[in-house]
Amino acid sequence: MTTNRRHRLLPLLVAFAALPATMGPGRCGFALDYTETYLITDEIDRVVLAIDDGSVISTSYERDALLLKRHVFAFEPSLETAEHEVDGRDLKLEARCKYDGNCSFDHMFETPPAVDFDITLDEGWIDLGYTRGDIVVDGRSVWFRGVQLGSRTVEVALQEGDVDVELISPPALVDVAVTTGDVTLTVPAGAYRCDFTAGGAVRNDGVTCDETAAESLRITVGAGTITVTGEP
Amino acid sequence: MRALRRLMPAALAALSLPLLAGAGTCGIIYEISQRALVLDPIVRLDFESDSGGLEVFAFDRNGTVVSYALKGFDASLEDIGHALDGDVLRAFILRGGPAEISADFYFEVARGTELTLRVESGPVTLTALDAPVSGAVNEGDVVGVALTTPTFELEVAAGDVDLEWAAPPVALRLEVAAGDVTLALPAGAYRCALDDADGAPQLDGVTCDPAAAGELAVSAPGGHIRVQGK
Repeated sequence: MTTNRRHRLLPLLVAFAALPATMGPGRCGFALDYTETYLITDEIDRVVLAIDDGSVISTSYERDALLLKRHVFAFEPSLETAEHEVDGRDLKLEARCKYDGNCSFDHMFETPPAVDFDITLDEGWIDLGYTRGDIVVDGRSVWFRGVQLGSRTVEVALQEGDVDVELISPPALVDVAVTTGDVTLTVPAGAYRCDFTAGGAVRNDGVTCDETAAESLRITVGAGTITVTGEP
Repeated sequence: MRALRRLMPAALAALSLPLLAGAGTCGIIYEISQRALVLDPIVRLDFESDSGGLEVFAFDRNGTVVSYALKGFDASLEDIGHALDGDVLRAFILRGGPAEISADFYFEVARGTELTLRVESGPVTLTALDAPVSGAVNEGDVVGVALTTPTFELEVAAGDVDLEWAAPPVALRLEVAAGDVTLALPAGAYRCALDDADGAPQLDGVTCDPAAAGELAVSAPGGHIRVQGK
């Protein structure tokens, strides 16, 4: 090989060597794309999820076992863990990614009617329907929706994202705190202890705010609006 | 020049490859399955399929499971999926080309969910549905198990129909152009309008009475009708 040819090849070699850097870290190698489905026959009172990026959707009704389906997409070098275990009466799931944006973990549940949820999610969305169990959500950039919930307590804390919760029976406590986003809450009409604070508009239609009421609605929004509706 | 001549057959073969493969067969081939959960309450499922079967199972549940197995050529797939339109859930596979593409759909629905269907080609199985069903099947057998639907109206161009009711239907109307019809119904009297190929439907345990509450209108000019009371 002449020196001239070596000079001509050098930019190519440099470009080739730089390819991993241009692709972003953790993206070399295999891309994993798989779905697991499990029927959990142990008695479960609570589902505890800790996920980096992804989604959670769940429905609840009279059934004896819990159905779990999880879809994982991840670049193999980026996947840290995607596991689940039954710990006592808790079903614990963890899904972690070494590099932001290189993995997503989508979860689907069908549970008995009174299973609690305790979810920590960095980025994604959560749809929970019909459960009578208590709900705790802690998220960074997350969209949360609750459909026809019978939960006694719903606690949602998000840095960014919208919250839309529909409760079909009076909750003991709804506590929603969102830094940036809109909150929509529908509860059975009646009297509640209200604490609504928002950077934007606060609308209340059908909920009577009464300091002596047993049930409590506490919503705090930094930049965004609050819409509360009492359904007859 | 001689080399060009030698290459000519190979070039012609390469050019004709798309013809040999058939139209619409270039590109991506699907062999996938999907399962989605729809939380919103729905009153009706509207199903439309250009190719593939349908299975619907109703039971005491919340939310709707939409699942399908898709196989075939992307070039012939116009669209597949599901969408909410108010409280109606639409699900569909639409063909957009001549090559093989089909999807077998499976739904789990809450009790009280109505169903309208258009199935071009594929078997249909309905289990424990308890709300009105109507629609058309061009080619495919239809099986119904433990039905309690008050009204059931179906047109079938080609295919056998085998339906079992757990409660007497108010109105059961079938038009089956080419195929046999077998019905298992609660024993009793029905207002009958039965017409099959030999003009002699078989009735066992079911009587026809113009004053009866339930209607049984079955036309099967290209097949036989058998009604069993149980």
